[in-house]
Amino acid sequence: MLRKLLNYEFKATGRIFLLFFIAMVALAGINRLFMEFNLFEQRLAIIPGITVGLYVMMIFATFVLTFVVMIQRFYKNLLGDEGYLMFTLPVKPGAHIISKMLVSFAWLVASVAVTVLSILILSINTKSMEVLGRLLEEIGLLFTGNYGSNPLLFTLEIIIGGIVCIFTSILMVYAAIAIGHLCHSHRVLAAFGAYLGLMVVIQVISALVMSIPFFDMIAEQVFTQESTFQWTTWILLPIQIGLDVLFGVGYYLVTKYIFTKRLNLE
Amino acid sequence: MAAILQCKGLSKRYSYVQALSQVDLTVERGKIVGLLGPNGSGKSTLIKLCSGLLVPTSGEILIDGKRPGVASKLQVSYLPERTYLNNWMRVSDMISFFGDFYENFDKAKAYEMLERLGINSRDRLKTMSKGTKEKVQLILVMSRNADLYLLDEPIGGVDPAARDYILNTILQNYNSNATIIISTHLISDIEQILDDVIFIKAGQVALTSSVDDIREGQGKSVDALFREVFKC
Repeated sequence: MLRKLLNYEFKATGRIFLLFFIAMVALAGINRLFMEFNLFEQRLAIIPGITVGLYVMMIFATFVLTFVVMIQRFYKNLLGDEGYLMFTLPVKPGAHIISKMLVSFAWLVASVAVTVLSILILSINTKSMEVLGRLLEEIGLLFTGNYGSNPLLFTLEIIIGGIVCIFTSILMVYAAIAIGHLCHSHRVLAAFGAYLGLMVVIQVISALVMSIPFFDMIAEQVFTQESTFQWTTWILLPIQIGLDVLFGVGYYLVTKYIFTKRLNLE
Repeated sequence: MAAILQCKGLSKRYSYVQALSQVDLTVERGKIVGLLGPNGSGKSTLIKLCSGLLVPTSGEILIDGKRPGVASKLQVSYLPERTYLNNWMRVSDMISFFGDFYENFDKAKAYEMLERLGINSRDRLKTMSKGTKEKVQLILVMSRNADLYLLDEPIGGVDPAARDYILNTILQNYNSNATIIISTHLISDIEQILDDVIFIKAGQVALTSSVDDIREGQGKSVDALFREVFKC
């Protein structure tokens, strides 16, 4: 059933994203052409200026879109009138949350990928390839160089931490919307309030938990680059990831509880 | 075989409002039941509890002997009073959606009914009038081979001619083992198809009876009895 929900969710959101992606890539291509062949002179030189502006705006708009679609699909499709259809499907409430979350994540990743692609279209030539090559070389050095720790593990943690953080952030928005749904009226306002409330709670918990290793670091006089790196890899990042996982699971359970027991569609 | 719907001491309270209190009710298979009551009497709440959209505050509700859940949602076909259709879809998309999620959905039946009502399945829902959307929705709901149909105000927004067709549709799709619960206050329009009625008043069941008993026993139409029971 999750597969069907995902399929349908991609269909519902796909058209608008494809439109934005095509526009972004096309604008990158146009700008590239304008740069390669100096077509416009004197007064007409304003045209490439405009297209560059449009391209930058398009990138911005795409990321706003991922955010808006994430909220709107969850709010409208599950808690608006369409909820009457979605919640009478023979599907567990958890599957609705997971499908919405995975699709939002996928569009965010796709938006980043298309943006990178468009930047490559805009800028790739022998010189930029050289710079890129050197950058990769430097990163490679990180792995072979000895920083007193395990750079592979560090990179892995950064990647996993990033993914977990995105999922948790999405689930936090969902939990806030679901909590707002408990209110009789002013549900959107309540959702904002719930979001701020959750923010305060996780900041306090994170600060309390993180203060323990920080005090240890001071007590053990961790000041060299090596030892800082080691602490980050073995203690700070794992704790941060663990906290994010815990928060994410918490948001999921809260949302699921509200969907199962406290659903009250208008 | 368990009764298709059973309520025991069923109560539902929204934060300030007692929508249903202590409802005891048994609905057997193979009946067309009118759930009748004035606005705000708890009809929609009862139907939402059956469909699993709401959870009881206390008491129990059983669909075919089971608490509402994934299994009961397969057996229950629910028509809410709102339009829940996705505006970006075409009617044909909606039909494949239903076919995808409900194994008991009969596509051929749906297309046949659309044709009879002159609705083009290639039309987008966005462009349709409210009444047409209601028809589409009813067709989708009635094209499932469910055990329990819950129709919340199914004929409120459609014209009288279509109303007749819809009532006929309901009758034709009435497989002898299925039960249809229709909530409405347009009693005279549906009276002739009902087997049983449930009168619901301020969150409580005021009367359950077969239509024959009302007609023969009391010599009244359901409509007349309704006016009497709910006299303001």
